[in-house]
Amino acid sequence: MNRALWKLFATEFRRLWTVAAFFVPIGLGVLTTIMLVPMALMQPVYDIARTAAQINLALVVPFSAALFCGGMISADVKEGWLRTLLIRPITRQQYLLIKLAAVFSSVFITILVAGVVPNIAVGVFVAKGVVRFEMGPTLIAHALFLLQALLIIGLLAVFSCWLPGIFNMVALAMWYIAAALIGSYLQSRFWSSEWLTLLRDFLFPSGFTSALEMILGKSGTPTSELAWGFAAMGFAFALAFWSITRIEVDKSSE
Amino acid sequence: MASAIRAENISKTYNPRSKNAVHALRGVGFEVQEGEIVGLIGPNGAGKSTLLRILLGFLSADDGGSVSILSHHPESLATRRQIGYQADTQFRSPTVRTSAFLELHALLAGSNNPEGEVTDVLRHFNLLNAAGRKLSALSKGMRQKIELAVAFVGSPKVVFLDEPTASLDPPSVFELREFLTHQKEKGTTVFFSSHNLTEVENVCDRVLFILDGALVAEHSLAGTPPGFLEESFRKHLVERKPS
Repeated sequence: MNRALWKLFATEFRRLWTVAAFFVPIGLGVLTTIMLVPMALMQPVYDIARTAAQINLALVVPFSAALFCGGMISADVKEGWLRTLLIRPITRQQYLLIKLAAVFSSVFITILVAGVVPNIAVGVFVAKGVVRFEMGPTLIAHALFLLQALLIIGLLAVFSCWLPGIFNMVALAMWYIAAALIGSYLQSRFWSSEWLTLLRDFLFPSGFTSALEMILGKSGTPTSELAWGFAAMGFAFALAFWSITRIEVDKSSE
Repeated sequence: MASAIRAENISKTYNPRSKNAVHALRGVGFEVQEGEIVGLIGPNGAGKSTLLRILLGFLSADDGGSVSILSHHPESLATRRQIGYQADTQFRSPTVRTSAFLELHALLAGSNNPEGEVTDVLRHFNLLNAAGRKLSALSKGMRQKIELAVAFVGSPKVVFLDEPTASLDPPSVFELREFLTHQKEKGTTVFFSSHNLTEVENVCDRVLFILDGALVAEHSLAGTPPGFLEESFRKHLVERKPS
């Protein structure tokens, strides 16, 4: 069965990489380079870890996750792929796990091509000032991007069980906008209320991004931020694995 | 002979709480013995595809009915190891090649020699020239044959076919007939829905007639004269249907 599951992973991965999908890392790589070049030319210190955080969290991670995961389950139901797979002795949970692994691998490659390579290249070839590279914070930052990517993939997996592809993107975009607006409103008006802070962190989990800010700002160990991040990620995946058991593989009527 | 497929009192209502509720199936019950080839015949909208999807566990039936395949629940892994299915819709992918698609199915079905089995099934369906081509690049008829090949990889004991001859040209229909005869000799149980009376008459041991979601008749085709099925079709499905 292991060989079968590997083959399924390879097939799922291959299915993601259509001709159009190759433009995702290339396009995002061009965009990040365009963003990084002025920073490298104007800033006296080009900090690799900090610029990586700026471009990956704002652009590469959310966009690559949205483009590879948007409608990943609903499209499989619509195209009949899920039906053709589930006739075989694999569980829905195995299918979802393999699907998530294929999507995560694609997002990982995109972060590498569009987030890591341009950052290093701009730092080496374009930066006018001092280039600061600290291995520890840089590696931790990239580990946190990957965790943030997993969190978004988990959320999109839940959305895609219940909504068609385009609505997944809309739901994610609305979630980001709401996180920015409502989150900052609660932060500014009710920062002293523990319950509202808790509610904000539950609805718009920012554990991994807060942990990254603390690490880059050298302002202590982000234990509770990481715990929030992992709790949110666990909750998203639990919801996704519950959702996959609830959906109908074939919704069409004759 | 043991029962391969057993359905008891299967009903299905789409949108049950709505004013536009559709009663797709009404108390359907039948049994298919191991090694039998049984055809399901009915006009469009009679409930054939809904019945197949419920038998396969893709759709849930209304409360009160039960389905078992080889004495197991249709969604159990024990059942999944022993069944094949040709869907009425065709999976098209611009990135997946025919051989990889079939090999994946052979591996998932538990085949020890997926490459050999895929070559065999491609040869049977005269598809060897399509092995390296992407699924989206194939014609409708070829994709239909690929779906049929998918249903038979892994040597399943029970195979469900949904309109297997729908997009096939006459030579491919002959190939399929020959292939099904070969499968019958191997003891494979085949349950298929079709509009093609000639095919059903040539291949099936027994036929079930479905109209407006209910099984209205069932006939053994052993020793019946040519044209028997057409006559039965008229009697059970055309003359009964209100205009």
